Amino acid sequence: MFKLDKVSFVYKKSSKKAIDDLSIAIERGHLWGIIGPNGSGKTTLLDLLAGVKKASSGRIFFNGKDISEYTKKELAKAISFVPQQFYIGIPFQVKDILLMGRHPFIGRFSNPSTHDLYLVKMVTEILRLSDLSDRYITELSGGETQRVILARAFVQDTPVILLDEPTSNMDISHSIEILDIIQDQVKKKAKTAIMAIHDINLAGMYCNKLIIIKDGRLICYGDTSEILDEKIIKDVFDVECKILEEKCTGGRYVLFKKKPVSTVSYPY
Amino acid sequence: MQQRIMALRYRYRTNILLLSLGLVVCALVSSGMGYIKIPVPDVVRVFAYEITGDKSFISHMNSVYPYVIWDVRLPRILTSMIVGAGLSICGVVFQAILLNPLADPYTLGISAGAAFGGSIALLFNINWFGIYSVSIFAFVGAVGTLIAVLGISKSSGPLSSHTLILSGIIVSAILSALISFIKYIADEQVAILIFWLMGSFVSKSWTDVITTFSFVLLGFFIFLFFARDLDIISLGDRTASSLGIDPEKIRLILLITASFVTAVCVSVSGIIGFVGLIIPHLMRFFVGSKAERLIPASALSGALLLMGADTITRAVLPREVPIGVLTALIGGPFFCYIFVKRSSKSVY
Repeated sequence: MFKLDKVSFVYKKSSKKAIDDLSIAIERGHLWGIIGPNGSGKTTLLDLLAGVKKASSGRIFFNGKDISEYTKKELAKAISFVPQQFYIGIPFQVKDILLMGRHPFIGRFSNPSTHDLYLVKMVTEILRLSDLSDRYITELSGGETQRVILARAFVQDTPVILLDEPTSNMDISHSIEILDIIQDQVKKKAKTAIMAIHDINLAGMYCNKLIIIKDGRLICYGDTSEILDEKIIKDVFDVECKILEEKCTGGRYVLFKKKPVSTVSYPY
Repeated sequence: MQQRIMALRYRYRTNILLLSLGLVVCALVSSGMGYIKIPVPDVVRVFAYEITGDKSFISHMNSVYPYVIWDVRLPRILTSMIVGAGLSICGVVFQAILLNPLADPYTLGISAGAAFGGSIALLFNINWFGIYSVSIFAFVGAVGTLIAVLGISKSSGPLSSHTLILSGIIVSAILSALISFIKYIADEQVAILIFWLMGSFVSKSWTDVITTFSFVLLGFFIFLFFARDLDIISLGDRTASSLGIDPEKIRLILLITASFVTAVCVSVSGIIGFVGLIIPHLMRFFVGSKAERLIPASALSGALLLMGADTITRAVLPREVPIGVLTALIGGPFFCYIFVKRSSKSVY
């Protein structure tokens, strides 16, 4: 699906490479998790995959064709994106925002088709947004807004969906519900989801493939069951841990050890 | 869902129809108001005469009526309507581009630039372009400000709402200081200067009507063409980009168009605040936030508001009050009322 060949990315006015010589092949039909410490380049990597940013060097192939050869509209029909930070100051109604997800498929002056409206209705039901449908986005809580943003991407109904910390503002019950839905979409509709996620336990539970990066460099990638172990957590996050295999859910659980407090005594 | 959408569309069309009807009726009534009172049926007859050229429409009335209506009042009324519409649609666009519901056509310092340009012309008594000197200087000032704001904003990375607002504030602050200085050194012209800065539609001609109309109409169509892109830009750049839109390109096109429309409005009428802020807000209650509906509704109601305000200062009040002062006096309290009412409702 995606093939990255020695990709680097440098932010303007910065000497450090946010993504450093990264080569990887992302196969279709899995729930991919990108994990790594803060500032390791997870969001930048997603931006590159989404075509929001252009690689400073190296090439990115999407379905065998260089991503820079696609038009924005073509990419919008193939890849949807759920950003981590969202601020919407204009009081749109939730249903309006959902319908905006169909923008690449609706002609400039035409009305939404029955199929467009059907998708909005389906996603509203799946994500249980019916009660919010008429409310204004500016009145919603952080978690509710995040669900709407996610729904907007589902309505776009693309083969690939990229997610940047989709559960960062949600409590555990909502996080699990959302990740269940994402996993379900991947399995039933044969979609590919690539998700940056902070919570290693949630990553181990839902993602069957992991990409682990640190300082913009690829540490390793592959099946979660093969690569997620104590050594890699220690190397990447500098935290001691113990990994438990939980047979009934098939997931892996990471138990973290407390870090010893530095020996420097407080001056007060 | 389909049925609800049809119902909403029907309600929207009714709103637009009512607004258009209100606009025509108010324009007719306003044409009859003033120092010389002219009954509405006579106003209609004058209109009929000017359109058909049939003299029998005006044969029985005072011979000064057609002149008063067609050459004196109508240009002023139409200019106020067009400026009201122009400022309101620019308000919609600026609020969406700057991701800030408190933005208005003046946030980026366009007005300060126009005011500075106009003040220079008034201070040095420049009349290179006859009676249009002040307008042309104001226009040049506004465009110059836009270029400066874009330049500063661009220098710190891609064009984003934050850098735009910040550079707008910087440029406005410098220009305000310059305007204060001009007021300070302009001893004899200071009255003219202050009156112009507060805005006025006195002695507008058909040329003003045609110039502003062509610019505002062009702007209106450009805004309408990009209406859906504008909505999506307010979801943020990453989302917009993933929906097939180039946010930076759209922002630049709309920013330049909106600034030109604002500059034309300011150059013809001076600084008239509040319309561009309050009308888009008010219309969101009636037609929602989608730009393709908000823009036409704002154009009509902005026209209605400014024409109403101008009629009050022209024909109702015992002496002319600067229109900018009046719009703030009507708009401010009304805005407070709406704001308090809405906040008390959304707190559960």
